Amino acid sequence: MQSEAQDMLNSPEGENASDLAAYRLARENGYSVSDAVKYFVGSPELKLAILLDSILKSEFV
Amino acid sequence: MRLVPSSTPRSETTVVPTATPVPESVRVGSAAANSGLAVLRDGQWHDRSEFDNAIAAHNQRQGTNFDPGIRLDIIRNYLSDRGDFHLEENENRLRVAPGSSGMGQHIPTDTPARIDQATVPPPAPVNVPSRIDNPAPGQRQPVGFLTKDPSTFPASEGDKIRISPSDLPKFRDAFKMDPTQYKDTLLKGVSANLTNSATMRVASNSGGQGWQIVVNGPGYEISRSIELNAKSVYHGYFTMSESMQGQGLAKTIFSNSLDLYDHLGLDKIGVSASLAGGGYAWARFGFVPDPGSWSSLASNVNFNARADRSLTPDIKAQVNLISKISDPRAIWLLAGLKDAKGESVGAKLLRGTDWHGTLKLSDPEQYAVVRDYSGRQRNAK
Repeated sequence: MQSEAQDMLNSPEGENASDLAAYRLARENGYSVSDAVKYFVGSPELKLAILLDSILKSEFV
Repeated sequence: MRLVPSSTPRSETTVVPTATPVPESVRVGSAAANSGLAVLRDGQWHDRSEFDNAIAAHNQRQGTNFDPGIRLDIIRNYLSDRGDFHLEENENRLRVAPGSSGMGQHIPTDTPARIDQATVPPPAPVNVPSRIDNPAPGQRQPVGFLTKDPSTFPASEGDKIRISPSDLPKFRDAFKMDPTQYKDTLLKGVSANLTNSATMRVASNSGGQGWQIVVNGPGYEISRSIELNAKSVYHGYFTMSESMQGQGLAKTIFSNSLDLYDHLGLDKIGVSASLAGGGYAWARFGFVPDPGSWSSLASNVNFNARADRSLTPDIKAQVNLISKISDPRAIWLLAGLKDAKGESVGAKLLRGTDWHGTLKLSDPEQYAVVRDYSGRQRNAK
């Protein structure tokens, strides 16, 4: 037997949403964009999306 | 007698999130849409002029003064450092390509802008819709149920719905639906061989405000405790046989459960995270431990991590930092922590932990995560 939690884990969409929530929480707690992406974001596509989003928000300049 | 239909089961104040769940510009697939920088994201070659024009358009639209050359350096430098993508340049043409090795020119890291100096602006305010039936994208939507006249209650359901004669009218009054409809909604989309013989046992307490509901079928059983006054539901357990695992049954039923919770106006889901890796999984779904639970959990995880020789000093340092955060949401950081190879160490850190946690459905961040894990449509009705 297995719990519902285990059965729901296999979800790329959920993984991204969860990583994004962790990323935002990390930023709230003082992590740089670079470190927050490095430690809490798995998907390369999501990493790039966050990078470009932060560029657009003038977080680099 | 005809019972009153419930077409608008909950008030706006309890269902409408108060902040934007996730900026769409951050989501994969829509990032930087119409921004100009998106021209580099599709893996195709583009003339450098397309990029310059896009930046110019962005400047005009947003009132900024971005230098295309500096922007390109920033992107090139970042991609080179990260290694997941690189910027390719060929005769004044550009594209972003996967992988760390390529023709991208590495720019020293002392360029004018560094990613480490970045700050995140606060979340943008959200326009709260004036009507519950017209929510903004990504927000929860109610599900309406038409209750049946008791005289139409199917006789064949008699052996599949176990509820006392005294509880039946209380259930209909409190849930604004028949027990049959509850069961059918919960099992919507599940294959017939799992639902045809499913039974539901219902019992009330607290004068009809507290309900214990157990649904079982071949190879699975689901237990829920609903407290209508507290607008909360406790997920007691959901067990299934090995042969049923990995077929999306839990996702379907969780998504259906959210429909029911919308209808009932419930706002909190409670779980006890302990069995079968639940300590890790529920944290990934956006659940948050009780404050007291988090304090001892963080301390224990940090203690165990220090003694774990398989973890690198860098990861141990991160665990130590995270364990000092008082906000219980920091469990999301433990669960989502990645090592230098980008592989999750969260399951290892939280394996064997035992905590009680909740998820507030009115919290846009928590709701967005659990919605995506359950596969629920973003604008499903």
